[in-house]
Amino acid sequence: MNSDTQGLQRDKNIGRQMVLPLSKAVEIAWKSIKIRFWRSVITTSGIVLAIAFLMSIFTDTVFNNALRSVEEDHPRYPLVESVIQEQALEDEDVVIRVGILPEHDDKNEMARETLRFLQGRAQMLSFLLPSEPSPLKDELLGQTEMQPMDVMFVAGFPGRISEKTVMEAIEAFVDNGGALFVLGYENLWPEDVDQNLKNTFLSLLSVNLEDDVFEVSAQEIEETDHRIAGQVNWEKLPDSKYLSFSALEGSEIIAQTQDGGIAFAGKHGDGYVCFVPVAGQMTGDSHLFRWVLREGLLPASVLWGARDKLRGDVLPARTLWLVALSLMVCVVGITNAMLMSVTERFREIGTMKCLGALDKFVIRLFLIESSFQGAAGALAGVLVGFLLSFIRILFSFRAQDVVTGDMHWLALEFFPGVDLLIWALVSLIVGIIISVIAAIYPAYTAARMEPVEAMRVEA
Amino acid sequence: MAEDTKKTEQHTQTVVRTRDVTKIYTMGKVKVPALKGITLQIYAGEYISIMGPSGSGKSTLFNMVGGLDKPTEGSVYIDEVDVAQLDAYELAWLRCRKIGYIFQTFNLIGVMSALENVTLPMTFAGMTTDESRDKGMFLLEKVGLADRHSHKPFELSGGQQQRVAIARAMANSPSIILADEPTGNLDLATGKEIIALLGAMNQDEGVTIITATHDIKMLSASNRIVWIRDGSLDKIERREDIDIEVGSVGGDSEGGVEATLRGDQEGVPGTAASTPAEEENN
Repeated sequence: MNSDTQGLQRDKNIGRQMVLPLSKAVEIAWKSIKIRFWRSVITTSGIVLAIAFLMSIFTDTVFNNALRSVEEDHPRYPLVESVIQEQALEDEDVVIRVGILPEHDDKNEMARETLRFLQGRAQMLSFLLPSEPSPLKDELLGQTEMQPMDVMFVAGFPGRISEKTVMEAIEAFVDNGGALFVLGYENLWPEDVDQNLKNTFLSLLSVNLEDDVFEVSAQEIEETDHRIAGQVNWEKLPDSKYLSFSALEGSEIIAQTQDGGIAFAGKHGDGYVCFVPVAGQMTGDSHLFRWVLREGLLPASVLWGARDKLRGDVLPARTLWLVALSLMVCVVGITNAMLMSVTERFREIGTMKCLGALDKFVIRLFLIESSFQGAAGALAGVLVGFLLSFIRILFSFRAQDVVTGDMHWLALEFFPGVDLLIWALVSLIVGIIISVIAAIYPAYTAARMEPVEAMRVEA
Repeated sequence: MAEDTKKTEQHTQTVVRTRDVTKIYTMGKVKVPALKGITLQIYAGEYISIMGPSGSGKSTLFNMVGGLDKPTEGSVYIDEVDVAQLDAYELAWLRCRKIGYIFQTFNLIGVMSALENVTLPMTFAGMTTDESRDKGMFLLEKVGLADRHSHKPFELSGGQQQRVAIARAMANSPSIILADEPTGNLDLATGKEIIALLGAMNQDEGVTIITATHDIKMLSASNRIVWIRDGSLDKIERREDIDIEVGSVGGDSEGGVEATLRGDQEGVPGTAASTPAEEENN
């Protein structure tokens, strides 16, 4: 028989298999999952875990962003701010370096107490600033080997550094995003200090000195109008004398009595200043000083000053890497499980090919099966991840209003429903894509299987 | 005798032809010849059995004839189409419509009901759901399992599973049914039923049945028996020319079968390997 007639015969007797019954593939895939239910559950558990991890991170991010998008003029803003800072402080990556400039007298009692107190607080690394102008300037301008200082606590200027260049360095430090906490005013300066220097400092604080001293009693403070991050307990503020200052543009009074402001805070450049204008020499007023430390004005101010730092990345690169890693592990796990499944189903695959299934059909069958598993696993993962994260967030995102004593569940008040849905959908799609990717190699292995495999008798 | 005449007419048309089929498996650096040039014609409507000890190349020839394997040299024509020249789509088409496969292990798709198993090849052939359901039920009725159509394979006995498999093999009205040890996993009585059913399909539908088997009962149902030994065609026997006494076979089936077979073999033209075998038998 020559090749021409062969060709003719061939045309007559043979066709090309074209049918790819998609609905049948879906049906078989679905039934295969059902009949091997527990095996499918185990295969899927990898996806559940990986997507739960992913969704939990998305949930964290979405809730954190919801809090971060609360406007400053919102009544809950102070509570939100305190929650954000608490959250940030739980993150081990955040360390706030607090430099303490010691009082000018020899005892340095206040500086030491401040140091001791701050060193007991997590994430705060406190240290005494040098009393020589040159190394102090290096520290202020971030020209040391160390991580730059975040907060400078001024309890007094030693005589040697009460000079213009140091003051300029402090201004540069605040302008570049540093926070400056100043306790007292008259106590800061050596007796022979230049008046111009004091005025430069006042302009940095954005306050205007009014020659007047007033006393504030503990009772009186209860009626004061004050606001700063919710951690400060103003009610325990001891009786004290204050210098009168008025706020200039750039600064605002954060605690005020009938007679005048007792705490100022303001933004200067990229940084913050907080100023408590206690009258006279601070060394004697240990009650007020302890209050400043213990009842939270200094820690709150420190946090407030470092809030840009504390508002940093919600999703650090390390976390993203962990997510990527867990997804990759998941892919390998599914591929392995599917390969096992394919080798076990050699007879079924061979038989289907004997019945006229195309390679494409077999590939589709496994991809569909895997995408079903992926969808189910991802859905479970989304729910598990969301619930685990949400329960944690619910309790860590609550804050008590120090004025009214009401507990506010900020996670519910600022519930980011739409964002959560979007990210749940993203997680779901990621889960499906991951499991389809994982199934590609096993699916091709199955498709390459010869129909003659169906003849094999041994299991 | 009328039946014989009808059969003879049918048998004039070849449905499978092999021409000098050689198959060499390469195992590492060693080349192992499994088939050493086999020329064979299988006629339409025949019931043919391929016999041979394990390692004889029987399975290789069987797979070749069923379009499951391609020869290293020589050609296999199924319905006058050279299998070696077909691409994957054409091979799938051939397997779907021209050949029905029956396996020793039944190979029903475990997740599908009896009816779904029977209609699957029809779905692959592009038949609509309604058409295939009707034809599937018709075929299940023919194999006597219409009332079991919704049962899953694991709910059926081995014999019932094999009946479903026969219905499935008949789904697209193939020219050939390729049955690999169809009674191998069945007891004697059930095996007989399956052989009878295959015989009925052969008689009623005129489908060519090619089996590889060790089962004497199977041989007695065959029109011709092709013996393979060491990769060559040993002999081809007609059923009329042999006398098989089922039940008298003891021990090793291969030796036993040979011992009970007697009579002349039909010398098939071009079957070089048949000569020494004839001498040996005579």
